[in-house]
Amino acid sequence: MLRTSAAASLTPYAELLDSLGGLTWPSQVRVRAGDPGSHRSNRLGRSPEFTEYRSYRPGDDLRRLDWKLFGRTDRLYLRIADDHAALRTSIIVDASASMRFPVEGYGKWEHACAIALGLTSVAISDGDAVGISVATSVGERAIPPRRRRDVLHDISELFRSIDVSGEASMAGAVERLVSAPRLVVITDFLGEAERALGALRVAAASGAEIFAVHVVAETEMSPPERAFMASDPERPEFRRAMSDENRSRYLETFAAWRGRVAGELHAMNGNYRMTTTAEPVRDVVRRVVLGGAS
Amino acid sequence: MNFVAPLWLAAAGLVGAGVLIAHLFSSTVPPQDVLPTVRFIPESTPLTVMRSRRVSDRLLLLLRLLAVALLGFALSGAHVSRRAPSGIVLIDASRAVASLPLSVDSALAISIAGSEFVVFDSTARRVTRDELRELGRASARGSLSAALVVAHRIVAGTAGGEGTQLVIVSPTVAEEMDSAVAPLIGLWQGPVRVVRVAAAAQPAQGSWDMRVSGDDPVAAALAGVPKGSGAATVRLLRTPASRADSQWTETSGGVLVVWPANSGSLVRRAVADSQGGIASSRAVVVAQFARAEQPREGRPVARWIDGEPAATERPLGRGCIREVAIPVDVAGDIALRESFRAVARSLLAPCGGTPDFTSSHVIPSRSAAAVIPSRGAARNLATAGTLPLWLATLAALALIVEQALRGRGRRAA
Repeated sequence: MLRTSAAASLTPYAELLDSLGGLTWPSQVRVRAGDPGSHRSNRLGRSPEFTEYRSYRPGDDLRRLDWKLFGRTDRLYLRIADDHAALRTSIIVDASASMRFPVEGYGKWEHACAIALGLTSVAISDGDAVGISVATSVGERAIPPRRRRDVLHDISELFRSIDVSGEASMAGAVERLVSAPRLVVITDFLGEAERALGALRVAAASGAEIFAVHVVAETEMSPPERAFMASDPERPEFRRAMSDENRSRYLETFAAWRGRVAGELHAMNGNYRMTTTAEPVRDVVRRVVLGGAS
Repeated sequence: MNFVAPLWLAAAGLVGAGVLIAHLFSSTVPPQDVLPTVRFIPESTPLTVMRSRRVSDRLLLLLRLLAVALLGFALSGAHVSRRAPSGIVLIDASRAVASLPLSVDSALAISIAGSEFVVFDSTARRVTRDELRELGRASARGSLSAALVVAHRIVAGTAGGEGTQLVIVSPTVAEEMDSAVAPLIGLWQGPVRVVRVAAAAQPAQGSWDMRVSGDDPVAAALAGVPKGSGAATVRLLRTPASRADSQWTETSGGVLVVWPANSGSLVRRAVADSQGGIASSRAVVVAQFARAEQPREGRPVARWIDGEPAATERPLGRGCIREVAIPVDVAGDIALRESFRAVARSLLAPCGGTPDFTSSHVIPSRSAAAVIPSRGAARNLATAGTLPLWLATLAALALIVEQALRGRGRRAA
């Protein structure tokens, strides 16, 4: 049961967490043996849940012989059962200045935080340990993986304490968590996209399940139909003029880049989900855990 | 409309032209906005700087031009010139005039069409021709210089003031002359005419009485002063004043001279000291006096040599109370000196001082007027009046509105 103060800090997310009840996030592959959990392990074990019989081979553990079956058939069979293990989940959230957009109101950062909390809630329901890492301009802020439900409160408090500004190194955070069995990256990929994708490629090669949630603001998808001088929040001196003449080219270039990022992630057998700030978080989380359309 | 410094008007015209040109050829930089995906905007696109060939922001332009024009008018000292009156008649209504109706008749007879009328006693004020018949003679002393100042103010800021005739209808007695009269008349550019009317008769010395207890040095000092006949008009008290004394002053219009023989009746000074003399309008006494008390606030009628009042006078009903804080030692001979007796006699004068209705001459002094250094500047300032101040205020208001409009325009962008 959550502490009272913890429940209070999660009040803004109550509706979201409630809507995710009963949702599971099964592993796409057999997980390595470890703490007991809900994911099928790649090791056959001795759980009460029967799976199959196998003929005895010299060297097998005699304790796994089905003696009753031997009594009936006079043959030696081993009783085989699937082993289940927990899957450690690491979530990395981008807190660079580009995530604070739109500056006023509900923006990419708020969207990313809600998604991270939703995924954490689902993973904890599965009995998985969840850790969070926030890449900020002043370094990484992290909460180590925990299975207790009050990690939701800690994550919520961590998000509230983050100053979303400057340039953050997502790639560095991914490189540090490259050995995580399940890695979730929630970002707009507007920082060091190439380096972050490279680090994800390494993690995927290490056998990790990769989930990339690409957060895009509605305004980025459809900029205001007026001329204005656009500036990069991470590098204010970088400015370009948006006008009616180049809006269509902007949209084409932006769409092509998103396609390339998605292609890179698919190529590494990762899961790419793009979401806009207009999409309900509940739907985003469902698409991530159930493997909906990207 | 005339201008004190027309050069500022030309400067304002130049600035206004600059503002107009700026609006014709202004370049518009599009508003700034944050967009994280700015890198996907084609790099080859030039900065959007739009040049306008038409007048942009017309309301702002109008406000700016209005502010510049108003400032130009304000700095150039714009003023609307009035026509100077053909004549100004100063009518004496002080106590020195024998008959005010006769003075008014004289003034009306001698005034030319379009004249302004100024009535004066201790102060001066403009009146209309119709109000002249309702005037009453004042009991105050006249001040001709006050009337001359009002006359100068009337012609200030008018055109043709050099032709305005100044007529002074007054007995021109000595008590209404001061050192400013001659220079003020010397400054007058038009003709000056003095119509001398009959002065009031010099009032006879009123009767007086005195209340003392025992031997009193002041009584000795005033021993030679005749007490006169009939009801007393001056009452000198060396004993504490009573309610009846105050009532007598209020109703009779007499002078109540409170000159306590014993200390403690007047306001005690914070620091008691001694002074080496007393001066009144008639005499000076040089002697050492212990000063422990002071008279209450009022018009000084005698002063210590350091300038502080030794005796003051304040009105009470129809009369006045004169408080004297001059201690007189019984043992000394000060009271017998002629100078002290003169000072004591001056304290028996009627309220407002002894009238001096001896005739005096009004002599214009151009040389005295010339010592006023900023005569031209003063005339210019007087000419401009308060119109430039109002214009500058309106200009400031226009600039404030312009600022508000500009801020709203930015927010809308």
